[in-house]
Amino acid sequence: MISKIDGLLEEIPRICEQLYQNDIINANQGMAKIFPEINRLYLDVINMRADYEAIGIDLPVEILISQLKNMLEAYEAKDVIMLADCLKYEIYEGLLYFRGIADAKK
Amino acid sequence: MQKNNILFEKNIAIIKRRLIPLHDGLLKYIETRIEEGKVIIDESARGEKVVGVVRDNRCWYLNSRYDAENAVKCWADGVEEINFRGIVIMNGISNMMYAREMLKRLGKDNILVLFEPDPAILVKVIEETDVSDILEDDRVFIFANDINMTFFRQYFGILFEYDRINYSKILTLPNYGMLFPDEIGEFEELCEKELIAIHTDKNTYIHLGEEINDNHIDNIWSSIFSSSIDELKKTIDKTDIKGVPAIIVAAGPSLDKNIELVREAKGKALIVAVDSAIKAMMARDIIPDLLVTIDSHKPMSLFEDERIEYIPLVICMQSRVEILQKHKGKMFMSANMSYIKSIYRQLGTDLSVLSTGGSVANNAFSLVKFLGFKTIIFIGQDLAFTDNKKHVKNAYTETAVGEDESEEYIEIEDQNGDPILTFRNFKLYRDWFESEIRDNPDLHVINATEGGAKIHGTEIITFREAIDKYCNKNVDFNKLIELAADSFSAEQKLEYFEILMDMPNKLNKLKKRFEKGIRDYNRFYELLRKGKNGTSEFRHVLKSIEEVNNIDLKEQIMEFVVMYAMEDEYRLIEGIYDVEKSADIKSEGREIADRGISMLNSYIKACARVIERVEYVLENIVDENRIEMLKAEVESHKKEK
Repeated sequence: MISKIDGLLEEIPRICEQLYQNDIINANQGMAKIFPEINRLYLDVINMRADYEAIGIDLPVEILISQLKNMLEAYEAKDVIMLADCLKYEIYEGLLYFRGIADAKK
Repeated sequence: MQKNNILFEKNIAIIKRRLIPLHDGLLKYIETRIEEGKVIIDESARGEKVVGVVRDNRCWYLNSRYDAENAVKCWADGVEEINFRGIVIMNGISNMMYAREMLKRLGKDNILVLFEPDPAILVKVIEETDVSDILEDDRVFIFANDINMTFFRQYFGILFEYDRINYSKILTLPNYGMLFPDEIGEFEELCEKELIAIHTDKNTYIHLGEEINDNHIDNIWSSIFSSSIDELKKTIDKTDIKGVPAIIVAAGPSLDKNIELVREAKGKALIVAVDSAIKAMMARDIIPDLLVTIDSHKPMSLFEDERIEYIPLVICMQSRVEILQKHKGKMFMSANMSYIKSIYRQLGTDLSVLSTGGSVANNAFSLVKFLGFKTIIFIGQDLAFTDNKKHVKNAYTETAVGEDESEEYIEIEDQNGDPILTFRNFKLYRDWFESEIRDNPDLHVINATEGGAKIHGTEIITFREAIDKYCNKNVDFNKLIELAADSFSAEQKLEYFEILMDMPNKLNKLKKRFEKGIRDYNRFYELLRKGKNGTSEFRHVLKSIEEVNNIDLKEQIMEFVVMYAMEDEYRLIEGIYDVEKSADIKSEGREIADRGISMLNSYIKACARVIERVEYVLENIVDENRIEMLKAEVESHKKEK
């Protein structure tokens, strides 16, 4: 999981830059790759909610779901600014958080 | 919203001073706007004012809601390097932060054209944000749908100088492509059409430049004794033409269908024929009120009928000289060059321009618009190959539409919406009509051609219907037109003649100045090569070079010179700003000097050519008897006083 998160943390800034630059073709290619990965990762983490609770980590599930919803809305609407904002300021932070709790779980 | 709105007052005051059509359009839009609330101004997490558009139950932001400035910088970093003479066209203004960042990165000679597809966004930004710094910037021009787009074509011709075209770039701001795909598509198409028009002009000048310029000079004599479209307008203005249409008779193949009806419209409409249609009209003894001829190489076979020599002729300086010389009736000059316009001004009168899309029918349209006609009827305006023919019978001996020219053909929409073949340049003429119709909502244009291309924005009816519906008022245009005065009094005519006589003298002085310019360029390179580019002599030489390069701004006769040197000028302009970064200062200096010297040599040659042509006019075209009569008239005026 950690390597997947690290891969996404590396990809996201590049795709955000393409989105802010209105470089839609390249951004779409990148998004097609990371979108299912982010989705899966978020759902995996949310599904492990009980495991995390057992080690004293209270997952902010509502926030995580709202981040996922925002990304989905922006992606479906092809709203490049919302998508870039969401990736840069929400998903990226979410992934850093996942990385932190994954380390703690180890 | 505007009352006591300090930001709006501040922004609009600058717009009023710098961008008048935008100002007027904005106020008009604000007065009549109905839809409010679809554009919002919000705050980003950093407190920046950001723009959002509410559509389809969601808000589309046009800036980052977290850190708008960072997103704008990121966007600007992605823009490829822009040449120092380049023009940047931006689709969308958003909150104008993008424009602000772009201006920081552009040089003083760049131009930034902002196009806003949604006028509500522009109004909201002006009402609620301080964009005075951008509005104040001389490099910025703003166009918005429903506000000032009718002025775009005029500005385009001025801003997009030929040397800048290859360095222009269109950028679209994030989310604009999704929100306004049709508007942006239309705008880009408009830009493309204007660019094609500039290239077409260039090609025309390269192929016909010499012939056109010969006519410019040869026709000076005719212009001394002609009237002008301005005088014609003064005469027409004396009559109430409200509700009276102008009929433009062009030479398309459909003219055969309804040409006979022109007779019925005579005296109830101003009948303006284009030169290619005149032979067909004369064959039926139909005499138009005005005949327009603009082309420098119109076949003389069209003008063989002697009666044509008495039909009032609308011309410009490039019209074929032989036609003007044999003409015995009234001639109305229009301006197509600023030098001649400046002579008219110097002599205390006006000479207006008739804008054109490349065809004489376009000029005829501009003429009737200029004269104040609001209802314009087209016949023979096929602009396509109706029934596989290009022109009306009797116009030309022509080849059929066939394979040999197929590369010049393009398919467009006919009057029924079906595809029809036409020449590529015919499509440009049609596009020009459509732009004019769109930009002049007060005009009612009726296409009564009964065939050919669809001209969007026109009412399509038969010529019979058009006559019954619109030709109901009697006006004797023949009589009116005959009343138009000459452009000049006898005194002014003599003064104009003296200007013509003095041209060789002026041109010889120019030649000497160019010879000095060549010496300056050589000295410039010598000083550079010896590393003396910090000396006062170097600065002095540079100043002198700058003066000679800008001589066309001071000496308007340069227009004749530039026309003969046009081909060389275009060749030398190509790539002039592609300075290689790796080139050292000496080789760059040699390149600059070589280009400058080539240009000046070309000007020297062109000066000699103008002198030769003026001397030809003085020896072969000028009628000494007429000059003597003028002198006698002036003398008698003096005695009377």
